[in-house]
Amino acid sequence: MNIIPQSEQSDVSNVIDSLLNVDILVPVANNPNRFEINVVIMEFVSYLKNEHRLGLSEEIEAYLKRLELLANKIAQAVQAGESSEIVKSARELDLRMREVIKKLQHDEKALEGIAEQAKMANKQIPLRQRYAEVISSWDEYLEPMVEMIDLKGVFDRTVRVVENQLQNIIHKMDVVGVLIDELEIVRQAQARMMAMEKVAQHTLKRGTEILLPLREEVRINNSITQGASLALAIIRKQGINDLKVETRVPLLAQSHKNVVSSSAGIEKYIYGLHHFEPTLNRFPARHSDRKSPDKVITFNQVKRQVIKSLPIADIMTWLIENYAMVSTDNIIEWFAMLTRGDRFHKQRLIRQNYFTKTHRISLRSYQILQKIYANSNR
Amino acid sequence: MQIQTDELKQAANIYRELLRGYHISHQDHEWYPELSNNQEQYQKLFELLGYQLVCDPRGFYYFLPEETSSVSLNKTAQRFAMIIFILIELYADEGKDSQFILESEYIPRTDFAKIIKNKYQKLLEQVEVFNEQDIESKIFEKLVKFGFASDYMGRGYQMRPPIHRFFDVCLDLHKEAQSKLVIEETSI
Repeated sequence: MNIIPQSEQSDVSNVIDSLLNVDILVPVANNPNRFEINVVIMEFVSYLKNEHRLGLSEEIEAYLKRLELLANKIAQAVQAGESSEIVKSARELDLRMREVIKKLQHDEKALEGIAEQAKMANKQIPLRQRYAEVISSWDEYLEPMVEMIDLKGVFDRTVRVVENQLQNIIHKMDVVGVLIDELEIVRQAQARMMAMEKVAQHTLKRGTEILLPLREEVRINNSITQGASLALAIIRKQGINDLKVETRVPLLAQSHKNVVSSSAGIEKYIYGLHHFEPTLNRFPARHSDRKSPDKVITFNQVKRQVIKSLPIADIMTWLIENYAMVSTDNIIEWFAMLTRGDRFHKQRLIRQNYFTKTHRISLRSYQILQKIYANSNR
Repeated sequence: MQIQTDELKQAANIYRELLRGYHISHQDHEWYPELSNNQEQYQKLFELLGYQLVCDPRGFYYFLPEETSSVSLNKTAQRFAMIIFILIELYADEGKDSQFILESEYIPRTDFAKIIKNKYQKLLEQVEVFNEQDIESKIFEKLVKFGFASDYMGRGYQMRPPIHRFFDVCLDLHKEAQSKLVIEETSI
């Protein structure tokens, strides 16, 4: 930013002096001959330019501690009958809560900015790199905030403690009889706290709405890249047949059994028929103790069975109960295939242990509600 | 449910295309709008004919072969999967967003040489693909035939939404690998 016009040295000094006098410029810590723009001014400019930098979740935590402390101070002041202390602490309580609200609103804007920037970034670079700030905002801000604001989190606990404190204080003030202004300030703080709780929940909801789809995009993108490398590793070690691509991506080709093919094909068939020589093959002897091979169950059969049995309270339990004789590998594979993508409306369950005949599996299963029928207009 | 045949003007063509294994996606302007506007009717109609029409929410349709009626397309499916896995890894190794390229960009023919000269030659030999011409004729032309890709102004090939079927394989493999991590052997 070029704020100093090309002029005489003395003019420059005068401009710097006047900027220093009004605190727009401040000297750099170790060098009095160098100056920087006051942080407050920078923040104000950022605000005017609608630039928002995401804060830290720890800042909110620090505010919460302060709120609890102030509520205790008010309670003590009411006990001691110190009306000036009641007013002072209640005002500070109200001010701190306004600061929390402002900070949460600011953070929401910052999250919107981060998402926008990520979406607009050069798409030639890897998604993980493009969405680096999204991921770190999720990990370092939103997730701790979810924990904090969640039921039984620090935020919720503090709000409840302060709420009770203020309620008791108001009750005591009513009983003892204090000036109407003092009571009004405490009531105002109580109302502000409700507003703060509402804003916090809104910020959290909005932040999740903004970042979750992008984070999911990164997760899927990573999984696809890792899955492709995994597939290539399997092909290298065990050969492509081991991957069973044809069952994973079955392709339909028109059956030619009823279609007359080219004359060359017919000639070949007639030639083969003409020169046919039967070979003697003995049937294997029958062993009474030999078991018939297990019937192969395909994923499509399982899927059809799932659709018939909807809704299913827990898909893993259902699979284990209905396919008790099937190997754990198959159960896991079907579980993965049934629960990925948008096949069914489903709800995630808590982590549990499941027992097959041979294994213990620890995972978060799903409740399967209903089948999703594709809306291809999307 | 009654099938309103008046609205299914392209039924014969759609049936013919799906029957040969083609995946209809939104780029198929002749068939896609009619199919998506009459999805349930078409599903019912094809069900009566013994075919399961898969309507993928990501914007494409195909017939799912029944185990008993399908003609095995082992090699074709293997070649398709192989090239998709290779391209994902190749572009990721080049520091690019491979999924974005496969979904929204095009694969230039010049990249075929890169694939063959790269560490993937041995892998491609497993599916009898030995040179750039094979990549074109045995893989990309077939991908076009099945509706997984289309020609991009003669410069290369652009993938279509059905490519997600192969992305799903990657996701499944990744998930299976993750699941195996949580399985603990016990002596019950």
